[in-house]
Amino acid sequence: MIAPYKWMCDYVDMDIAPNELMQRLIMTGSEVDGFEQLGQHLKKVVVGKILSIEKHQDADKLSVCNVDIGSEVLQVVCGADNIFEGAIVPVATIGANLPGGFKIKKGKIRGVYSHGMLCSGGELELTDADYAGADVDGIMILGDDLELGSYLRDVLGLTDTVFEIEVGANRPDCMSVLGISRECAAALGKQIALPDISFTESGGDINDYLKVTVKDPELCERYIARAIKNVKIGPSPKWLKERLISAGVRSINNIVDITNFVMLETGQPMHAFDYKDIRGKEIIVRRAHNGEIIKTLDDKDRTLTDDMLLICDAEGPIAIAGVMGGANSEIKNDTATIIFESAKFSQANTRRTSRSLGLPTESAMRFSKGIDTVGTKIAMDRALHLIEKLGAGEIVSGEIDVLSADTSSRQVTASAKKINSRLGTDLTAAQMAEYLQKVFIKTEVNGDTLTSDIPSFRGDITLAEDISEEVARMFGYDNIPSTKMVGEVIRGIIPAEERIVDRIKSTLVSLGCFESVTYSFAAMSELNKLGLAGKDKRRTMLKIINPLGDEQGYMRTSPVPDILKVVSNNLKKKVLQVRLFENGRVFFPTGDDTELPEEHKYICIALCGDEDFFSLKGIVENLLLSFGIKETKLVPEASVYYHPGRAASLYIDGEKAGELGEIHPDVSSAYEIDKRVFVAELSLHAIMNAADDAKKYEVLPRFPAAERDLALTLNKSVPAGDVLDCIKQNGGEFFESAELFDVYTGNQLGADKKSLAFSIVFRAKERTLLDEEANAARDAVVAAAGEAFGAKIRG
Amino acid sequence: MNNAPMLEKLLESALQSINDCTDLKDLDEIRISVLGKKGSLTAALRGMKDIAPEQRPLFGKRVNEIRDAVTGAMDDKISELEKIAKDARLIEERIDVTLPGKKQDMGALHPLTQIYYETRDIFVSMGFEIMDGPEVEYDKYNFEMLNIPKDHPARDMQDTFYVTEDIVLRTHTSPIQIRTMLKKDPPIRMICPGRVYRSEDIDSTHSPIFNQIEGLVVGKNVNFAHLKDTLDTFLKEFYGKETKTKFRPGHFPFTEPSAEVDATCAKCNGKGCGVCKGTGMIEILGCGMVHPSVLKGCGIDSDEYTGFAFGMGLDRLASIKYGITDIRLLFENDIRFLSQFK
Repeated sequence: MIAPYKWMCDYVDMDIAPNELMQRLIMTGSEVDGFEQLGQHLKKVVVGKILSIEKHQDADKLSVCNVDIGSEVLQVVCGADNIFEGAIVPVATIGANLPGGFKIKKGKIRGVYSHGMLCSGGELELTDADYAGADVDGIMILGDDLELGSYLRDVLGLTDTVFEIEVGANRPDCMSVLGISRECAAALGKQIALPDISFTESGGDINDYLKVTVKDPELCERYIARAIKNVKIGPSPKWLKERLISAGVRSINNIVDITNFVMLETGQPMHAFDYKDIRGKEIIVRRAHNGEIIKTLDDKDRTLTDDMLLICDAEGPIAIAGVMGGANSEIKNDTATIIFESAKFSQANTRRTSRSLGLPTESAMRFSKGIDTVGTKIAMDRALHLIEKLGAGEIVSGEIDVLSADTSSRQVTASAKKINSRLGTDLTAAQMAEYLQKVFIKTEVNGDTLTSDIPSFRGDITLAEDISEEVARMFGYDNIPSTKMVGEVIRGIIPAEERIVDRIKSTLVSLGCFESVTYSFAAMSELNKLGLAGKDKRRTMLKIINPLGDEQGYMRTSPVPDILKVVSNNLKKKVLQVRLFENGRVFFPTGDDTELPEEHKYICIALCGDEDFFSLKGIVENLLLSFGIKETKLVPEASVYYHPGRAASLYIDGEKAGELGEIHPDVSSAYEIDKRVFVAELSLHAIMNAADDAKKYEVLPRFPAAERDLALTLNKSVPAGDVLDCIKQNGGEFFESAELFDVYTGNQLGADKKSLAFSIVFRAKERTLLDEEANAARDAVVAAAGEAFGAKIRG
Repeated sequence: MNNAPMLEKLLESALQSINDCTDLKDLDEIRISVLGKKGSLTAALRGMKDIAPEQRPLFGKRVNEIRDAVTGAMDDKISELEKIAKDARLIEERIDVTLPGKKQDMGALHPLTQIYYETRDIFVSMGFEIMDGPEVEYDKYNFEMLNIPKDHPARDMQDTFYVTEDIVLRTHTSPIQIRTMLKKDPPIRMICPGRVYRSEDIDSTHSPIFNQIEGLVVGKNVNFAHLKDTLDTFLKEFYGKETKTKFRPGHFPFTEPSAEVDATCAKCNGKGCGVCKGTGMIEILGCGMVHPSVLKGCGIDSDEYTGFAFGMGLDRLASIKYGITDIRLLFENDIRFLSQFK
């Protein structure tokens, strides 16, 4: 919302520096983005008259002009060819600072002094909309009636300082200069002078002119129509033009300007129809038919749907209610009689219509925020007052007012004690009433009870709590004390799951991994890159109806594409050693679209550079070990995007907890990764469920251990893990631990054979183990491995 | 023959050679030449048979004394030589301590996590419990129960990603507050961190996904002055004791009264700079007293209980604290960027 300072001074007697006013408004609840003095770059641009033009002695295309700027005559060099002696032109004098940072300095042009510059519309950032003729190719030619030496800013009416204010959804009344003026008055403790709404009717009867039927009162709670006859279309007076220009609105003609002015002033959109175009002398407010078409003021055909509200005459639509008028009934230069409309259209409906037609007009914006039904009438009267003041026509007696809304006055009661206990203040009821009065809420005090008359334009105030906010903002948030919370002591809690995530993160960081954070969006194309089959669960993704783009059309079901992208980007930036992890969520639709999707939390790790499968496995094992998880099993099978021979599924206590492995070369190259890359995907819940923090001290051994090394030759295909399991199971009562320390393959073993070397520790708790006992235990292990895998002791 | 002078000479010469000795190996040779089987002292002892019997005890005693003296001198010399050798070795072993250390390379937590930890620590120390909730959320929890019905103008402020008409990607973590109030009786003191979604194109200050931390306190006699103190305390802990805060009226559909909070700009310490647009203050969070209809909607008696709520963007806190001018960096995960936060 743009609020011009001088315009607001029409209603509030104030004399305050713009910055000071901005601060006061901010501290009383207006969100002021800033202020700007209009026409700043037109300073030192004045009106001049070309007295003489001579050719420049050294340049064919340049002329040397003598220009009268009232106080003196300047010699100015000019290159345009549309100038003539006697022309009135804008002259940028020495020191002018034109748009684009172009500074005017005294200087010589091809040896001839020039004391300024004659300006084109473009050089001043002006167009025909600002001043007729500004678009001309060459120097702007101004009107003959202008006083020489006067400032162009004044000529254009760019004299005000304007405030830019964000108006919240709760304060539609502030979508008007009057509304912001009320806030200024409240902030400064001033009175407000309301605009004059008096007028005189000139006879006749509106009912002889028009009949109004509102077929859908729910969408149109009030429709006021008035007729003006003997209309004289013409330009608006200077004051009116200036007001409009200061608010950034072009002046068109007196009638259109009045409707715009009233909308800007009061917040109530107005519309004017050319009476002769209202067929059947009848206005019907109804919903559109599906597919019905209207040509709007901007000469575009709009196809409508049956939830949109129309203003129609006897034959068809003449306006889209509250959004835009129809081209067929607009005000023309020969318009002789007009119908003024001031109405209240449904907030939600106008909003939907304006959105679906892509017409966010000033009018639609105001209806969408909500307008005051009482104000609808005030605005009409104000418009009539201006018709009379401008002599733009004669007001036909009588008014049509189709009203279904409740416009009776409202009261809200509140307890002063409760307001104090909500705010933490210690104000008296009388003080509160005084603050409320400042914001035009008349309040009576009866003991602890405040009874407030709510002005019609403050539809946001319905509860005692709303009253407390008005009191608070007028008392000043700065004046409310800061008080320590009291009451029962509450323990701060970090939930178990989050503590586990913390630990995972700190373990991974200590293992050299950087935490990454990526978006949770996904694209189908990413799953194709992974080569996931059509029936894979991860291909059923949650679709976003209105995504930013195709690449972000779904919620992800796999963390892998994003982490591969991060690896790839790092490699491209010549980061050669990449260790990353992400803790995030993946989303799986349940199949029932009234239910929320399942959200699974995961830990995804990626390594690239001087890494191999076992460095990844080592990290995963370390991570699991930090949660006391020892019983894990790797089964060599994993998703298709892994290397078929270098990946595995991880099982904890028999439950699948994730996958890890080298990424398939086809997939890495799809992500433009030319190195081997290793990824682990772990389910947070699997880790949480298995985490075992029950640590217990075991007595340290007092008797020496017997170590036996064992090299077994067996088929290459036998997984070492299975052999280790076999050793553990068959180690007997003295078995303590076993470790694989060497894997050997070589010709002398045979092409399909390998040798695994284990170091096994046996120990008795209460005595020194005998050599024979250790040997017997080893022999049992050898026998078991022989039976299970055909393993033989390596000779 | 009188062997006494010969003995004294032997002692003198042995002590002299020991004294002159500079090497442990030479010392050993001296030991052998004096005390060894064929050594001079051993020879002298053998010569005792040629001495008059009455002189033998005296002679023997003297030989023993000399052996002790030589042995003692030798031990001293050994210690001395060993010390010299050790000192020499220590000097020899001098290293260049400025050479790089052998590191086990550490990774780093994402700056957003680090900022979260900082904020979490402060709120947990004030008795707040952390709550979690789904990122894909019912419209009802994300909007309607927060006083934002369908077609409410406030929905414009939060351009929303929809999954169905009734399911959205949460636009704030407030639905966690609703879920908490629905299942828990007051007193409630909780924060809800999380990822939120808004339909905004990506640029240096906007991202369709960002991270919020919101808080809620509900109890008896909870008031605006408590809200002010809580947030004031938080901001002073987070940005430093000298931080000033400014509460100014704001508007949110779910709080009444509502406030926006500015804090001293961390970049310029309030002097005014580009980050704070010259004002010295920077907008950090929004807050207010929970709207009674929000409480009622969650089954909490709004006559008996009141509450306050607040919310802020972690990405913004991180940008300000670390001086990050382009929030896209937070999601690019360039390791050169991430390693600056070790």
